[in-house]
Amino acid sequence: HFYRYDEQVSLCLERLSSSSGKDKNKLTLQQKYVRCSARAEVRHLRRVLCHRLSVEKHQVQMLFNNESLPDHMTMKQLWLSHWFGKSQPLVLHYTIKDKRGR
Amino acid sequence: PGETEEEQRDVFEFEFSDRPLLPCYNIQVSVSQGPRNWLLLSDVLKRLKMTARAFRAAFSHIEVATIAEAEFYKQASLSQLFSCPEELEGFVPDSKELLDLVEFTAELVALLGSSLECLDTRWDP
Repeated sequence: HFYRYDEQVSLCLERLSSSSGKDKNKLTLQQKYVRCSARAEVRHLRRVLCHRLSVEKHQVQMLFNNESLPDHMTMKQLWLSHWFGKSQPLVLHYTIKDKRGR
Repeated sequence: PGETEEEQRDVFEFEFSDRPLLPCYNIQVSVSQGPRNWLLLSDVLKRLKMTARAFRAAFSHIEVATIAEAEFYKQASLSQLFSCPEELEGFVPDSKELLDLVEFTAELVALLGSSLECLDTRWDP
């Protein structure tokens, strides 16, 4: 499917973190400005972040205004419900949970 | 790279950049093709610090499309994602001027210093 011709959204992903340990840089996006199809969902964004930061899926949480975002919400829905009338980019937050020992 | 257009795959592309992204407009430039994504050539030139002439000489294979500013404004302002008045402030709604657009492609992304990440949803459980 050609998502590449979809309308695109422009995002800025900021990490919410209280830790200032040695992992801080490793688990923070060096390239925090992101563009993707308006039909991409929160779960797709999470997947891409996992890949970028080499963490597991359950460790990544996407938030807007401290509220966790549902996995199946599309960027367009997010935009219209939380960012309508504001200029690009839409600012989202993410947190990286510590890896639990198995 | 490695993604062929013939394959019917669900692939989402994500552009990552350490600098704020140039605005991207979903515009139909001709009746023979549907809407596609474009950047303003002037934005691209500013970011690359190049003249139009140098750009065309260096990237002669990159197609530059031309559209009347009025038509561009009409289409861009229909987008629900451009709901902030300031974003289209620089454009004149009834202008006869022509605007140059460059199609948003993987090559252009790389040229602007961004990286592209592809997500194949077939791998999604």
